[in-house]
Amino acid sequence: MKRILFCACVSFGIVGGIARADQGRIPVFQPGALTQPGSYVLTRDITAASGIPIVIQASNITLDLNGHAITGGSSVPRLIEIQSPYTDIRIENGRLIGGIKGIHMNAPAGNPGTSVSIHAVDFSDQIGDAVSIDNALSFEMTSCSITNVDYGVIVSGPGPSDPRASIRIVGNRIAQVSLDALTLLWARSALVYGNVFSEVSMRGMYIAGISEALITKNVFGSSVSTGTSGILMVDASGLILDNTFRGMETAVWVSGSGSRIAGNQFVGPPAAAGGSPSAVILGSSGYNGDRTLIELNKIDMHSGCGLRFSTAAHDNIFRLNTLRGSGGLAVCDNGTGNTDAGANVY
Amino acid sequence: MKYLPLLTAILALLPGTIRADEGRIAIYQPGTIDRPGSYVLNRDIVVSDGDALVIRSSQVDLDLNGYAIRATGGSGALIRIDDGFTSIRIRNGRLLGNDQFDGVVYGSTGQVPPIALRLEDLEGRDFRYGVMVQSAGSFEILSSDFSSCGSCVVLLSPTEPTGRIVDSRIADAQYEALLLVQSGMEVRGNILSTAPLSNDFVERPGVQMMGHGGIVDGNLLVSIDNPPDPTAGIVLAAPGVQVTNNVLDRHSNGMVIHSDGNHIAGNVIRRNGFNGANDGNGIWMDNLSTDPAAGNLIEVNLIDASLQCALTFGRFSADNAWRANMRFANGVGPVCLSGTNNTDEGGNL
Repeated sequence: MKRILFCACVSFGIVGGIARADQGRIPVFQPGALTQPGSYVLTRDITAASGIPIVIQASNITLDLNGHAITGGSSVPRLIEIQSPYTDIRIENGRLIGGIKGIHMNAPAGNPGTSVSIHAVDFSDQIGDAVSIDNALSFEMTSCSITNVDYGVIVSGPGPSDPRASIRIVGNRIAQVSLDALTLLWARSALVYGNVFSEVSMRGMYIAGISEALITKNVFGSSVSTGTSGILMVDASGLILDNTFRGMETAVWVSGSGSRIAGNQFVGPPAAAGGSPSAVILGSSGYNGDRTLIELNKIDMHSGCGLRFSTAAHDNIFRLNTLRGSGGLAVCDNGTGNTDAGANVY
Repeated sequence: MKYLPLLTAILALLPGTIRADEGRIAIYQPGTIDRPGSYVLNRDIVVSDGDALVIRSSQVDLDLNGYAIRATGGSGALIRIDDGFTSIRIRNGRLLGNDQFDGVVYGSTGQVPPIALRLEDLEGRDFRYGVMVQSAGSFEILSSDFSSCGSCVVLLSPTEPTGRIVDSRIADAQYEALLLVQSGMEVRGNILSTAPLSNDFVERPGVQMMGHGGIVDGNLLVSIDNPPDPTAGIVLAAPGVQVTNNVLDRHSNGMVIHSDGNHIAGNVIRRNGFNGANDGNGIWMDNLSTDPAAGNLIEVNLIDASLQCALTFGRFSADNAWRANMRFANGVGPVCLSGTNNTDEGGNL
């Protein structure tokens, strides 16, 4: 009988150092490298005091953290490393705690591009970044939580000259970030939808070198106020629609051409917080802010300016905004050719 | 020893299907699903030719379990649903073609009974058709990624169903990202892109709505330059579609309207004609002399950087209205107007 049971176990593949977990997935229960494509599942918590707990060295890998946690000490450089040039990686359903970085990929220039998807992962207490991905051809992050980190998510694409590069950030919560919650660089398109950014100490979103962004239905909040911004766009354009901003010195700062900023609600920091608050700033040193349409926003800044056009801002139009309660000035225009197209409420 | 016959019988079942944990039925090789139930892939499946999985039953839930169904050669479908079967859900894994394969296919003709089909958390690429459905009563694509396709999602349903394609990326389509004959579709929160390769001068749309009703809201649409092939972000060939709050970048024409009674509002449409192909209009409206594009309302859009005109009303357009739009930096002019009784209702900038 014992011999028969042994044979049965061999038939089900429990040999060779890799045991099939439930539903045929490959279990991961200790630090190591994933070197073959396939579906992996964490079967217990992993704690590391040094080294990198999980290294991904193959394409087409799904790693289900299965509700478990990977925890790293302060000398763990990253909890999960995706090595170049591997792509089509999905990581989901668990917790990443501590370490210097949570998930990291450093792909050199010339890499064919990486596709990474992260879903329902809770990040906390990283000394550096929760997520940093270089050379992302496609990056998606949905239903995740990030708490108490220096940087939340840093994603850079191969550049707007590679028109395939796209980023989707949907339905996440990012809180207690001491620097930038979301940094998106050098991609053709970025969709940021339905996220909550709270207790931001520096910038909610920093977007640079992205041709088209759609940023909608997000909530941005800060209690620090001085030196904070909700969205900073440099050399980027798009649609900023139906977001809520509260307590930031600058809610939206756009240096680029042809954006539409509409339907947002802005509540500034208390007047006693000081600084130079603005709901919207257009243009900055070295970058124009032009051909922007600002409409249908509700702006209540307590102090400073509701709309601020820098000397580099020109040919912008605003209309149908409610600008009462700014405390300072509704509009501060240092640019040229910026037009009140009417129906603003002062 | 008395258990030997039982164990032998269990082992004899291994080449077919076995029960995985939670009572689901494990799949580990190409084959046919011919009974209702909950199925789970427990390893990658590789097929060199022909269909990888055939679903020949209704009420099937197929969990790819993070694994891939992959084609290495030949042609076929990675998942084919036979005619007449419905209530199918496929989720959580990868479909990897070879440019000759299709991803998920339903219907041998347009006359098949409508299917209820839900695709969720899938990643697929390198197809002729990513998803091809001939007839649907209910159709959903949720949180999925289909890329590098001839046509990524094609829905040829003549029925009156509803469906939605949301929170997904449908990218790098050679012909069209979404071709929806089906009426009443919701297309929301997606990144959609076209990458024409055919060099045949035929307009390649990101979304082509050929069914009436429906909403296209909050999507990002881009095209990948490949002159001389023209592209369009959104093409409306059927009436009554709400097109709101989308961002369209760098198409030959941002939107092309052939139909009636559509509402186009709050969109940002930029860099029209900057892809090296012909045209260069933000919104271009025209149809046939016998059936002009009529009764459309265009309002509160930002149309920027068009090589031709922000709004173009062709000879065969009638009774359309526009108001409160902002148009910048257009090569020919803000509005190129012909047709009949198309009216500026004011507030345009």
